[in-house]
Amino acid sequence: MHPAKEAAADATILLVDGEVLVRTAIAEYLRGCGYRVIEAAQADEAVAVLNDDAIPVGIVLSALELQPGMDGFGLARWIREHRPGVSLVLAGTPARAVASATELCENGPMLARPYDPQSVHDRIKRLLAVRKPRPE
Amino acid sequence: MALGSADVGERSITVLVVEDEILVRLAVADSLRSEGFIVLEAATGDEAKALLATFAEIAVVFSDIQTPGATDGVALAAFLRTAYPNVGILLTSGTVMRPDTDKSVAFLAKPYHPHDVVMRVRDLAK
Repeated sequence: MHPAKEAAADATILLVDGEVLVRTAIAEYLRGCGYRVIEAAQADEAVAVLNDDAIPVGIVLSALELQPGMDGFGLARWIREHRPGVSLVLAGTPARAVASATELCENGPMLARPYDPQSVHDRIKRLLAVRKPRPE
Repeated sequence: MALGSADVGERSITVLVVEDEILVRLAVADSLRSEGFIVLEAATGDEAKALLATFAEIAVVFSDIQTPGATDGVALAAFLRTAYPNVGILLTSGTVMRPDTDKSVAFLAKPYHPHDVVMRVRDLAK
């Protein structure tokens, strides 16, 4: 890959999550860290982006549960086969996704974190509590 | 409160883009972000409703008319007019001519240049 394109790819994260509130919160957090974030709601959207040579993607952060179509493991297999140079992080829960996003921010294009990752985590928990009330 | 408010100007306008074709959504979102808008993205009308219920700062909704699921763009516009009367609405379509919606609902035919979206969204946000 051309060095400039490689640098752009390193600063571009493809975020794959079908839960829109989780996806939006994590995407905004990562953008605050200086990443370009491409949002995909399902695996076939992610594949469409990865198949487009004009879009440099260095990192994929994906939920495990995706629908319809491939889940996170299926997407992982597709990436290993077709885009072996792309780093993949699979997150089984929103909490894991936030933890991974925090790590990405620490190694990201900007040195400073935009805000405390705990606040992202708290916000996601609050959003999900409103969305899907669960008996305690 | 905008989640991304830490590094954007206080006058940043939040736009919700509703488009199920990811490469189209990406091009529009990129253009709006490069012009300083905060952009939230939804692939369906139902995702859009979830974001609207959560982000009170959404000032303009730009939506394709043919979106999958129970809420297409016309239904979303009707919902917005009732539930969020102050939110500006811009619909787009490559197949439908100007839809029969409330007069305050703006329309932009596909194919459009992303710059056209920026101009129209800026007008609606005023």
